[in-house]
Amino acid sequence: MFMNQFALGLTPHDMSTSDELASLMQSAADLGITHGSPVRYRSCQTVLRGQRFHYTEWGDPSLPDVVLLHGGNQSCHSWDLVSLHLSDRFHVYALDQRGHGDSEWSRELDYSIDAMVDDAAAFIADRGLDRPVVFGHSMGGRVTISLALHHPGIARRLVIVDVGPRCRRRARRRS
Amino acid sequence: MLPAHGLEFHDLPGRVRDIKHHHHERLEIISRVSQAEGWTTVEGFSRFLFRPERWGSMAESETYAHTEYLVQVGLAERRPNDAGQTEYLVHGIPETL
Repeated sequence: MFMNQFALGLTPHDMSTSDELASLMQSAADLGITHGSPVRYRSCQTVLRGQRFHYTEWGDPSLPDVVLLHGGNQSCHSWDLVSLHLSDRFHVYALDQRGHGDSEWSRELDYSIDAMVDDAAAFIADRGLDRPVVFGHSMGGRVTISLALHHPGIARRLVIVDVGPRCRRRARRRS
Repeated sequence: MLPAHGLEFHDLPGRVRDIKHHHHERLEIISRVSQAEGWTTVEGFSRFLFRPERWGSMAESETYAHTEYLVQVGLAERRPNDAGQTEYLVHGIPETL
């Protein structure tokens, strides 16, 4: 028994008529957050770098791509209200980063920012996204900053929410 | 308002005023430290801005935002030191933000 619905295999699970979305839309109405209708919302999984990742996908695939990276100890669902609000203008992907939400835990216990950067880059390549806008909150913001540093040109724009870059003691060259 | 961290709050204009006031206080401290110490790293400034239990990457990240702001408004210089760290010399701070 799971507390929420999600895709169990690699076939996307349509959430557009789920109780979960109905509840979210009620919350959005209570908060005055607008959105389009109907809402295309799917729970999906993929395998990146030998590890299973879950993500939610919102909006029409013909719209500009947005990738959302959540904060520490959060999940793709931390972005649900944002995803819902953006879904009539953007094609939104909210990734459960390693060890978070419904994605697989790291078998090497590697929860470093560098590992999450490589995951995000692999996710963008896996989905065939052409320079999406990348949003990152807190830990996800650190991932987003490093993603832009180590993969120049991978993102069209960055939206960094409530976090700054990490200052290293000395310059380090990443292999 | 639903902030990115912490609890919900009301009075957004008041919150913005508080944050700008806090930012200005931090700039004053950084300026005084630079006048006394000369060229100083982000880590060095952070030791004056935060209590020891707060020292670390989050404190340095916030300090870095202040020092880079001063560079961008033309009130500080930045250079790498011999250890490869970035250090700053602050010439003043804006009267208002």
